[in-house]
Amino acid sequence: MSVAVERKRMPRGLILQTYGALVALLILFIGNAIWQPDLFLQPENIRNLLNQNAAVGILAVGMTLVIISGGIDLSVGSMMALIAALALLTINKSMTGGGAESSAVGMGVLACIAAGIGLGFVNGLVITLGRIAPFIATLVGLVAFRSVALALAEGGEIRSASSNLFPAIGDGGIPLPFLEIAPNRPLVLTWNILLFIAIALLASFLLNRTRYGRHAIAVGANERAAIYSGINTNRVKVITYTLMGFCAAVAAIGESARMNAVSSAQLGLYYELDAIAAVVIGGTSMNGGRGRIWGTVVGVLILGIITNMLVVSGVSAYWQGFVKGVIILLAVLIQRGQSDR
Amino acid sequence: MKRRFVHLAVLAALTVGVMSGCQKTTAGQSGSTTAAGGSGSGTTVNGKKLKIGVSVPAADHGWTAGVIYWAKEAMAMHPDVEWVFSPAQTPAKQISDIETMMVKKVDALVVLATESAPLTPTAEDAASRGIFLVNVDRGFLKPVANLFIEGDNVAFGRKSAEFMVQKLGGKGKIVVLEGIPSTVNTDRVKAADAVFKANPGIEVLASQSGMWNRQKAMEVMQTLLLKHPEIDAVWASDDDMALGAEKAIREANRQDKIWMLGGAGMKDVIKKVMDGDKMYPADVTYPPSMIATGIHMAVSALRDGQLDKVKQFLPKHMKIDVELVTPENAKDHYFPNSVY
Amino acid sequence: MLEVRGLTKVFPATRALDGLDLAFEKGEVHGVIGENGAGKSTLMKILSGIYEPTEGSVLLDGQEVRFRKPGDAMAKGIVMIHQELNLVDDLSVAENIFLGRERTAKGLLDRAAMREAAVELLKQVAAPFSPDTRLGDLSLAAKQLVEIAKAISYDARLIIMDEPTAVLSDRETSALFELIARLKERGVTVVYISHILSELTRVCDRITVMRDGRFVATLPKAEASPAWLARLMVGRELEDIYPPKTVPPAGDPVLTVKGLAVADWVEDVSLSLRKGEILGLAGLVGSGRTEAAEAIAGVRRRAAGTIERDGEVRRIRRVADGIRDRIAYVSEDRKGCGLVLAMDTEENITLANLRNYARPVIQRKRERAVVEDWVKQLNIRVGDVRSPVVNLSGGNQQKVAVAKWLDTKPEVLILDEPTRGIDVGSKQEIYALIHRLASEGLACLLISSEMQELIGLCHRIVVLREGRVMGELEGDEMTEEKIMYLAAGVEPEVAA
Repeated sequence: MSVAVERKRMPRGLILQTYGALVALLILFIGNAIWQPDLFLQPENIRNLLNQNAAVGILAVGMTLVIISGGIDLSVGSMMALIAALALLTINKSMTGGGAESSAVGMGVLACIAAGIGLGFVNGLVITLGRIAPFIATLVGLVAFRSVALALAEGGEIRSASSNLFPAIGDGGIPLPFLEIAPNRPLVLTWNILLFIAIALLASFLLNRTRYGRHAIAVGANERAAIYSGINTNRVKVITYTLMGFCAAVAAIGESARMNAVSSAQLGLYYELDAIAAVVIGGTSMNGGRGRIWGTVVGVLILGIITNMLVVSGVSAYWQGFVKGVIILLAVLIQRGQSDR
Repeated sequence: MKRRFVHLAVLAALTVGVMSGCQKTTAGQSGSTTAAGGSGSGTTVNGKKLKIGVSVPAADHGWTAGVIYWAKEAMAMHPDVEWVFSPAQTPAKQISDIETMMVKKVDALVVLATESAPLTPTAEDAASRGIFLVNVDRGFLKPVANLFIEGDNVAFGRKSAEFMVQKLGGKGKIVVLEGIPSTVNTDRVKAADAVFKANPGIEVLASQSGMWNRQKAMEVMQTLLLKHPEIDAVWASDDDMALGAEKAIREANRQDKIWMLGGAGMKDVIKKVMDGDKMYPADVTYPPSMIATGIHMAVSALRDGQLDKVKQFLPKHMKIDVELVTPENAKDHYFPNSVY
Repeated sequence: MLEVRGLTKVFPATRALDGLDLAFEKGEVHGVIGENGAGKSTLMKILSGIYEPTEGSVLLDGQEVRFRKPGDAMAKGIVMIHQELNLVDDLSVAENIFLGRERTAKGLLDRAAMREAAVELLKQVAAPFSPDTRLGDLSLAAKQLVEIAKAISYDARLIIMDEPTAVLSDRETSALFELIARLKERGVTVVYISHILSELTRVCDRITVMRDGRFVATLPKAEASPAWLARLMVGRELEDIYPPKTVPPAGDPVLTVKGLAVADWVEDVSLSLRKGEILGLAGLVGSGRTEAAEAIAGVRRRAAGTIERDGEVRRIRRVADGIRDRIAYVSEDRKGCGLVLAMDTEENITLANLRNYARPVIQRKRERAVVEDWVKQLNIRVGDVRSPVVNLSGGNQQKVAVAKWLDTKPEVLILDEPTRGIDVGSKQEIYALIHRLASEGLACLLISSEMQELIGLCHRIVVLREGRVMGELEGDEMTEEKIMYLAAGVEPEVAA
């Protein structure tokens, strides 16, 4: 009895599904380059594009892990507001107490990360031990975290007492001397962008090269089979939500540093929906089990470019939501059409 | 294998695209596009049309709708200028709008901030690039603008509070409705508070933010009405909020016991003052048309390339006085055709 | 009555049907058999309107017809009863029968009319339950009757049954055959797909053999013997199906179970297993075999009893404990619990033993090497180990599931219905595999509903009834009669 090994050729339909998002991104990019060459291709515009979407991008990367493992997290936007508020309050308290700016900012950043990991962990516990569906559990977070943030800031904004170091996190980065936006002003590749890239790489590594990643995919694809194979599904889920909290913390630091303030009502508002949209556009299935980090990155860029296009062409902000919704629908339809029959 | 190939191809295409964009800009640097200096007639600088960006909050209440109206009027007065106009709902969006305007190489920016603190870093960035910056109404936290136009918010707070104290005869229980966190709000509230504190017979029961929004003010008022069975007057500080609070008060059927003081001179409220409405004994002006002032100043400062000369006499800070509107002078402030 | 000519169906991964010609007569019971991947399912799905053919035609009463959706086929009287029943557990029997074609009176549901009609239909299929019963409360066999009743209500002229007896006991199977006979009397054509050669020869008038998407032969009942059919299906000579038994080494048992109890399913089960021994676990559906095995492996909670490995009591509370104690459980539901269908072969095989490949990052090369080794050893026919296992045939899927567990290097291997729904050729391979593993020292616990399988493979057989051990059989004692007696307490029906 021989082992039959047939070389399978990838049919056209399958290519569209797997790389559809990538192709769309390419089309958008080239289209914009032709339509508005002076504006779109300027390095500063591209840098702005990446910078403005870095926070959502980082959230989306974390969200990819959550969705792959079969869950969802609606609370991340509100979580961002809350932990950013905590960070700034820590900085302010430390500085008014006479602390040095560097240690204050350091503590603030640590506080934010600790809070993000903590809240993510709590989400995980509620979902596993509390056995509450992820949608409901994080819906509670969506409302509750925002509420606490509003309370801490009394509905307003918290302004950072640090005027040099903290905003430098938002504006600073690696200067690119060969790209100048004005004489003697090199274009800066901001930390936000670098963090986005770093977190995407890290998540991709986790997903594809570690046991945790494999287990997460199994839990999302077929939880029963995962249990029967001896995987501790609860542990996998808790780790996933904790990682999501970590991503929310990184995004929160970036966003609040950019503005050097936290607007308790506005920071992170609806970011979770943007993150989920990016994940869906990027090709990850909402059912769990299959997904790619790079697909999500492409999804973030697609959403970003479209928003950029609308702003540049002067379309009212109110229509942007509508356009986003149409894009998401199209993305899902194209992907689905290829996977049946 | 095939996957890798496609990845590389896309990466290559993107890189080529960005690189070609870099080529374009580095080539374009030699003809610098700073707004000052050089000769040129009319609204051109170095042979290029004057480009000005106007960034304001989206119309979430009547006053900001008025701003947008006046901004458009002002922009229409100068059709020879290339305008980039973006209203924004959130600070994050406004930052993105301004960044895009900077990429478009605007010569000047006229900004009414959604919130003071988040926009300050971006304002600093714009100023450091030599863009002529006009700040209207909600001030940046640092004095980076070339021109800051605001209404006299301190006088606003003081005049309205003094009227209220006087009408109450120095004794009464009041609630304060605040606005969106910004220099505008801080100045008004602090000034009003100072007046109230100086009058020990006045008790400030609560001070909460209605975000200058009718709906929000109504909700806040509803709660306050439940919490405080006795209220004599509401220092609403804004006409939209006053209207919202009025709705709540009427629903609780306490309209005979409570009166209000709004602000900003909405035509509907001015009419009520004119007609002697018991709930609206007075109003304070705060014209949204100050955005037009800002836009107009930006154009006139830059036109004909005379900025250096203009800077010699252009004040950095302009305060527009506010007036107390009473039934006697209300008809002078009533413009039924105005949008606000 | 119904004919297909030159029927071809091409899928992205394979050519399921290749120029098939076949004809069904009115009022006959026509069996269709073939190995997994022969194209039987695809043919039936085209006939019932789920797929459309790539080439070729379907003729009904001589007229060419095109079914674009199942509704089209049903409207013409062709109804298929699937292996995975398409019923809703939360609705009643009557509601399920009329699902999608609810009768209304003045715009509202006419419950009384539907119920009455359902009573009639249930009588025709000799169903012992009422139409108000909640579907989820019925056994699989009963659910099947509901499906048949539903088919009849469509005035079906041709009913396709896909592996109907896979979940039925012997008694229920006989009842089904009686029902088929009655349908035949009414002039309904029944197309019967099955792997079980003995059944086909019992109930069908003619039997068609398919292989690789093509027609091989149609035999009348008289000419169809199980051996000949098997030969036609596989296209090659079959040696004896079961390998010759070896004598297991004497010695202390590697697994001893005492007084095992599991809530609702198992009352009191004790057994022991020696190295190299194949112990069969027999019993009717619902006797608690799977649940007992799950408890031993750590999947299910133990209410009472002890599990000893090599004479030592072990605490097994989770699957991870079982793996640690070198117990492996290959579940009976490979699609539901055994495999992650969306993942590929490589990922599935290493899933239970990832610790072995992670140092600390997963070493893909090592994974690949080990997986290719298993593929060779078990002769898993897979085109690309990086493509999802859902594309594999049932037999190969089962081999992947077994490979996964073998990778954990167990000393005790529990196999639950390992050959269910698998073609003859693959079955043989699995038998040979079990035999080889046992001779290499693995202790095997084999759960099966096919008595022949148990008798052919096992050294001993333990029979369960209602969660208790009824008896143990060894050597010549292992006969169908004795097993049946212990399992059901009655004499088995004599096969025709």
